[in-house]
Amino acid sequence: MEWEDLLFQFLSGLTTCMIYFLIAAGLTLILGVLKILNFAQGGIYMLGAYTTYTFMRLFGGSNLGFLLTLIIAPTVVAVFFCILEVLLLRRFYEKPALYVLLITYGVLIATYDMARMIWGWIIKTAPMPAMFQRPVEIFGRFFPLYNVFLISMGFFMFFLIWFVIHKTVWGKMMRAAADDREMTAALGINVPLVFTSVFGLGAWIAAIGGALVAPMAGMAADMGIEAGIIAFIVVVIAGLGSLPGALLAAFICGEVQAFGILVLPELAIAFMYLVLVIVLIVRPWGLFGKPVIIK
Amino acid sequence: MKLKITLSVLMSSVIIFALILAIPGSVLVATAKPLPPIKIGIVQSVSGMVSDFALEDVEGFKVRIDEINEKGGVKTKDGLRKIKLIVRDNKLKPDIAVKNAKSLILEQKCNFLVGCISSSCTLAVSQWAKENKALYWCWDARTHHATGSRGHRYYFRSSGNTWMNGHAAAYYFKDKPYTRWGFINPDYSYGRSQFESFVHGMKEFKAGVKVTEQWPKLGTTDFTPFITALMAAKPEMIYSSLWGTDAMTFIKQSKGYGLFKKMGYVGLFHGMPLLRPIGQEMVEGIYALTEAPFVYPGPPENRAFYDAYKDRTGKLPSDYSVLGYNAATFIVAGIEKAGTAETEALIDALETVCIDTIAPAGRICIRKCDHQSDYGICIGKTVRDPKWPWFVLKDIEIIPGAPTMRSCEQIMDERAKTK
Amino acid sequence: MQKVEVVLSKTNIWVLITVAFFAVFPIWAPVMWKHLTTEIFIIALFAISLNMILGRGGLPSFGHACFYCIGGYTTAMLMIKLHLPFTIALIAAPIVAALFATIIGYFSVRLTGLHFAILTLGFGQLVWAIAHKWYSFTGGDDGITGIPVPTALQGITPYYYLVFAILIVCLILIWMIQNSPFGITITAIRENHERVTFSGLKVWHYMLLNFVIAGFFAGIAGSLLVILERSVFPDFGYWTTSAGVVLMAILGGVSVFIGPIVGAAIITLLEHYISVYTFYWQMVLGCLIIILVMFMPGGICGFIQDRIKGRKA
Repeated sequence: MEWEDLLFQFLSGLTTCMIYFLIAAGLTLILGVLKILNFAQGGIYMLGAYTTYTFMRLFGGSNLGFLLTLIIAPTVVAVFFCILEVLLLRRFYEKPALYVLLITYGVLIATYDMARMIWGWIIKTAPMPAMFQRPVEIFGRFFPLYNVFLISMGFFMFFLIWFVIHKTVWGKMMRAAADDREMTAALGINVPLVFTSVFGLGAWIAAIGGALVAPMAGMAADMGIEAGIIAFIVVVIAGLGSLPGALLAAFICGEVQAFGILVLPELAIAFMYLVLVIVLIVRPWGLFGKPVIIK
Repeated sequence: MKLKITLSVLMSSVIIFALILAIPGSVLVATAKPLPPIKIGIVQSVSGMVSDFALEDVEGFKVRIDEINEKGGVKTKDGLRKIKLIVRDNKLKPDIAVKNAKSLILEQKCNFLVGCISSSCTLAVSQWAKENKALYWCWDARTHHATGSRGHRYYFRSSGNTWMNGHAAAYYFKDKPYTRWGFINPDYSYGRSQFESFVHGMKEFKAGVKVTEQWPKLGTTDFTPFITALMAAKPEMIYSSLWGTDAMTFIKQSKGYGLFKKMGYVGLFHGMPLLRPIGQEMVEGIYALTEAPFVYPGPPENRAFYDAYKDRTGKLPSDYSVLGYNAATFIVAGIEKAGTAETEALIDALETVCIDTIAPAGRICIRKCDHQSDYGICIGKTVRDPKWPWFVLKDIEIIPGAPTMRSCEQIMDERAKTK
Repeated sequence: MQKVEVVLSKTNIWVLITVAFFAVFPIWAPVMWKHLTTEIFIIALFAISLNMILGRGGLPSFGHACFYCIGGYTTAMLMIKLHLPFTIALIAAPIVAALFATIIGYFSVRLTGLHFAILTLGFGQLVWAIAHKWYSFTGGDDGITGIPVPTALQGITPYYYLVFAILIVCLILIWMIQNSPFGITITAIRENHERVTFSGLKVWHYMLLNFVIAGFFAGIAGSLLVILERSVFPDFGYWTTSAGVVLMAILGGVSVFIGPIVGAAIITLLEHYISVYTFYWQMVLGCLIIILVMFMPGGICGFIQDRIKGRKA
């Protein structure tokens, strides 16, 4: 095993990390502010991928078309889910968490069939844009340029969201509403609107994740189910509501798997669950979460 | 308390509700015709990960049955009988597949069962069929255990199995100059089965050694760590039983790493079901194994088959559609030979029935001792073709099925041991 | 334990009528309905066991299917690998399930609401992953099939009666537990756990015991299903099974004792029949769930109960 192999394994793990992060970041944001576990997050990711497929076919798979798609497709999906949030979820924020969980579960399985009804049963893939079709050379070996793009986009999204949460007025409203809904409302802020916008932002991040994955993977309607579980595990390891935690947890999961399969390839499926179990036993509220033991 | 009143009222309502739902189901039995139709129950994964292929199986089957029904039905000793198909969705879960089987045989009174694309479903339904003495014909699921150690009188399979596939591939490569093999297979029973079969064949034919094995789970979106791990071991050839979105994703992502420039790749069942959706993103020069490669126009019988299929459904058949079509052809041949759809007589007839399928496989027969067909598998290399929006296979060679099957004695031994 | 008084009230007569109905049901019902009803009995037991945690305890458990799964696998493995008779397997299964419930519950019950849901979901998935991956021990995704049925239970009718009898016994036991001082304490904890803490009781001990008992009964249900289906698969423990049984409890009504039974019956029948009429059963089910939660959060029984109360008032 040469050290370049290890470097490449690290870079591959980083790619995985960014995909996990994009799926999980939206979920943790929604959890942190709205205090709900959005089962439908995986479905949003899946619809992001499918919508990207449609738009890229519309724009002919060109470079410009890809950039346009990256702007339009996730926005379309996010708007759709904002509407769903207003119609279905708004009235349940004061009720026990269970009802929202079930509604989002219903939405998840409905989106699965929705994708099959709109796009059909056959597996699909979005064309790889021309500008990414040549690889990058690192120490004499090829590394896909698209992966470099994906990793950069992952970091970019992290900083973008962090900036929004900590440096904008909107972010301030989010944090206030997360801490104390009643007080925030008493200050005259339209809390339901803030919640809808946060839900939309969370959906948008997941849809971008799906959009970025579309040219590099095949897609089937059930990709959302698997993505949902990954998002969930990452969020649990990270600590509910923590964005840096999500990045770190995604990083741990990605790299543990990447290096784990070099040593013990038969256990590939198990690595993520092993990390989960250790966290659940040692620190059940996650790496960056706040301890919430009562009793 | 009033709870208890509601209990009983509700219980009764639920029962009435169930009755109302059940009645339309039972009305499906056609009684107006003078000769009742033969009812075939199809257990298939209509929803779930593999649904597009599963539906191609069903479509191929249905095309053949439609052809028969248009001629008036299948010839039995009482006269022509039409065939009616009832499809049930097993949601890719083996326990639901068993429920489907129960519903089709016990409730819908089907004559026999067909179906399953997933190995765990076929094993589960096979077990039920054995206990309830219902004939069950498998058209696509490949675990060799189903006709091997867990086979029995009531189970037939018209496709090849994992043992045959792996050994055929190893046989093909035994004289080729590749010795270092890397493996990537989905981590579930089908992937394991294909892996074990090829490794066994590899040892038997001295076709090479294993230098690495990777086990991504089904539905992996990101193969990049597996790709780099595979490449780090520097194999000369990669053997892959990935299918569906996994195969598509793996190939797309591997291109970026230059994998196909450094090593060869052999893909099991990388035929039309993959080539058509992946389109121009495919890679040239990789080996693909499939039972029914798309060759058009090919020999006149092939062309006739493809044209007729396209006329009927509006699209060209995929490899799985051919499998479904073959299954129907076998069954119809069996019914005509037995003169009846009675289970025991039909089984006896099916044990020795042969059919003709598209080239290069040609004639395929059921082997009496284990009810496994001797369908050979073809191997070819992918190449771009200006006539089609997808890649096709060239330099196709067929490896006949019979030499790759285990002997009847070995199978009977295994069955005895499993008891 | 309080003495259970038998009163020949109107409601008890209705109960007897329902029991009698199901007792004679197999005599005239077609085979498929017997299978379905037996399955409904088993799922109903599973759903009621969940409701001990969810309805009574007020904690949303999304990993309950893992005890069901563990009960099933214990039975299957004891019978296939050790060739033990069904009676022993049926007793062992809930005990093993309860053991796992003790471990998982120990980590979970000290948290509430969302955290509890997430933790139970996580542990449930872990159990599933082990069952799915540990091919040599559990058979992996092929599951374990061909589980032998004791000769006395061959055929659906004798098994129907056995399951029915076990269901009745379990329901009586659960009813008694929930109306005992222990059960009343659980309800008190759900409504105001701080007050219960102030009265000197260790709240989480009670919640843990409740969790373990619920796991025990889920193990029985899993064990019974294994004989009905003659097989067990890792998907018994997948999170969608847990979500499904939560749905049944809510559909029927979590605050009514027989709510989960009604929910189990309706969902099982729907799942059986929806996919007969359409390939897009998940769209139908998804919309049903949404409509149900939005318009009938008390479940069907709760809804009817409110209407009856409303009329009386």
